[in-house]
Amino acid sequence: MNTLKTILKTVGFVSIGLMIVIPFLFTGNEKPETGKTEIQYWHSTGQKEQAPYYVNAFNSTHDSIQVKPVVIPWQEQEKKVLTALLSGNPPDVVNQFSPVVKWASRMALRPLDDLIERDGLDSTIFFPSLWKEMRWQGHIFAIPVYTASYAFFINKRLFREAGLDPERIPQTWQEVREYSRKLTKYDEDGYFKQIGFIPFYQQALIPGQSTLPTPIIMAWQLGAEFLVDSGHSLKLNNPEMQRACRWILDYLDDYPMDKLSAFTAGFGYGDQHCFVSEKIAMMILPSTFPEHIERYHPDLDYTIGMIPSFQGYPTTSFSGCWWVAIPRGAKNPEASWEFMKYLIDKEVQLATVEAMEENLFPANRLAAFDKRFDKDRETDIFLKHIEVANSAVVVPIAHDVFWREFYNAVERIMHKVQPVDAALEQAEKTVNHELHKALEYDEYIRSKMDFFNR
Amino acid sequence: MIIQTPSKKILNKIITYTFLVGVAAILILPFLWIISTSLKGNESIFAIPPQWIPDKIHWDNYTNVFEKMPFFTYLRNSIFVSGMTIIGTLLSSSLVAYAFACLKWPGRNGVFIFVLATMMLPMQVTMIPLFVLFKNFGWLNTFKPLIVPAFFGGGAFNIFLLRHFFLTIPGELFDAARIDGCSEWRIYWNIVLPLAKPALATVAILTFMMTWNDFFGPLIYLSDKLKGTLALGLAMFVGQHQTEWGMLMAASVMMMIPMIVLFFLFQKYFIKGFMMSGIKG
Repeated sequence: MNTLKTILKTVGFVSIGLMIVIPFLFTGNEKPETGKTEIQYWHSTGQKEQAPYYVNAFNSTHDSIQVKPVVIPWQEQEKKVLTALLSGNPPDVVNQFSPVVKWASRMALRPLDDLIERDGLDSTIFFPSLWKEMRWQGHIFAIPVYTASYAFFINKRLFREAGLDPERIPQTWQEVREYSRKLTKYDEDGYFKQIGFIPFYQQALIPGQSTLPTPIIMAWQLGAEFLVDSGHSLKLNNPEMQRACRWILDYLDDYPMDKLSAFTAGFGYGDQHCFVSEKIAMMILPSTFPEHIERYHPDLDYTIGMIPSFQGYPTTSFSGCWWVAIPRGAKNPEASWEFMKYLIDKEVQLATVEAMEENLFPANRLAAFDKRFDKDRETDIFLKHIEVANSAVVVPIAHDVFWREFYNAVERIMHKVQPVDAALEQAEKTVNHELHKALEYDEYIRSKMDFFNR
Repeated sequence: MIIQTPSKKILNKIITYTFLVGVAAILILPFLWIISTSLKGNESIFAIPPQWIPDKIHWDNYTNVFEKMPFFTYLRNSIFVSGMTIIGTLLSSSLVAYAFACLKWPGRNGVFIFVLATMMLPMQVTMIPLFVLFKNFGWLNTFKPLIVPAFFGGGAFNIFLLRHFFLTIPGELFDAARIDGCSEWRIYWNIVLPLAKPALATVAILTFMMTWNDFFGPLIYLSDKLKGTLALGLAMFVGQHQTEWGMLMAASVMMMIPMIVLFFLFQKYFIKGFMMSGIKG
């Protein structure tokens, strides 16, 4: 009996010992010698692409460089990238959607000027608003790869019901106002059942997604410049912004805020989105929205047009982009640059967009306007918007603060808590305070860092 | 002493059980909603009024999970990481707790307070130094950063919990063993550990819950797709423009099953462990 106990104990101890030792035996860093330079490419383009088309294509056509893609869950990229970067172990290439300046101003990216100059990369191939976003303090830090834009969506069925011609999409905000009156319906208690257009209301597709605010679009259309003093100050309380907000306030005379809030409170995501559920007849929505409609309401009868503007003013839009960059301290900048150049090649962009399930547009205009690019009427309208788009990064170094304060100000204006100029002034003051602090810090960092001063 | 009549006793029981069933029903609602969503198609996930039982049951959400992600690889990885972490935590935290509870040495209480103070360090503070440390060890993209730390202390909370439990064991037991010539190791292994089963079960379950659901560790340390854990795999269903809610919920249900089974199997120990170590929620 004692012998059995001793054997059992020995087996127990050996098992525990092995369990302690086993983890040390698991090593994942040894790589077979292939003679190729392996570069790590960290990307996050949603769950649909597990191994991006362009990575496979690059690997099959390049003998000396091997790209290893690493998919990072959406919204979790910054944590992983920044931890790796601050620990001196960054990937070779990152693909991101958040503002370039946010990364560049924190020294997270390697300036690309020397590589661009050496290889004579022609920046005019990119949509202007996208290229503008890549620049910080006179240096280029990233290369745009894909973009998306917005357009004016209308519900054709609701148009017909209201006696409007669905082929005649309103061109001006005044027309939108008139159309909206005809498209708005009330229940027996006087509450809204359906509304034509709500100028300040934009609903996200999924929780946490950013949306496009109409007052900014309107102010841009009127010619507003938000960053003044060579980018050192924000001028939010400008005449154009005031006019846009006042126009919206005037518009809301027909739509009492309490009833509007009760109406919008019932909206949700998926098929409960206000445009998909046919509660709002006209909306500014992103170029990925047709995919959303296809998924949740494939029979929805809709069309798209240019975003309306004020009479006599040109329209404008918003665009954001996915970009690629080399993190600071990456070990193979030459191989990374080779891969980045490959991504923006016209043919590769065309083939990649074709292979993607998501409705994205090439950042390279040569690809976007190539006749082989699937150009139906919708695509054409989105492309026109990208051409006249403004960057979503209004205040580069205080991006998050700007949008937070902006939305708060709009909220105060629409609920008549504060007059237009006072609300804008308050937001402007707060953002400028943060902007000046951020600029001072950036100045200090740049004075200490060699690679900024090259 | 108040003596209750049988009818009063029954009434009390009815009230107590009705209350408990009511609270349990509220607590189980999110779980039932997850199961319900995991069986829905896109058309009914956001339907208003909400559908508890969908018109059309979408079992394909479960089968699609296996196509969209290497579920069994992730499951194996999660089991390996959680299992090894539990072993490491149980061994090392019980040893440390034994030293704090059963051995007398100068500065013992000071060191114990120092250990407890580590609980106040937010994870963000230690994240970068730990990452640098593991990078220098060459452990990135391996399971080692997730497992090995458990073998070196097992966490201040677990030490605290076990020490508290060990203090309830009468000191005479140790004295008797020492008189009989028992070594400290044998006292720990043959006397303390068998008596501390409920507390060890509590530590095991808590460690399992923590490592099974840990998202951040695998996110920053693992890069190879096939080395991911279930918690990391779940996040892949959330895209920028679309989220695969049905599949996300189906995978969540499958991920929760081991935890539920474990809890039901060991709930006796779990509750006993908390009661006896004096840590009541």
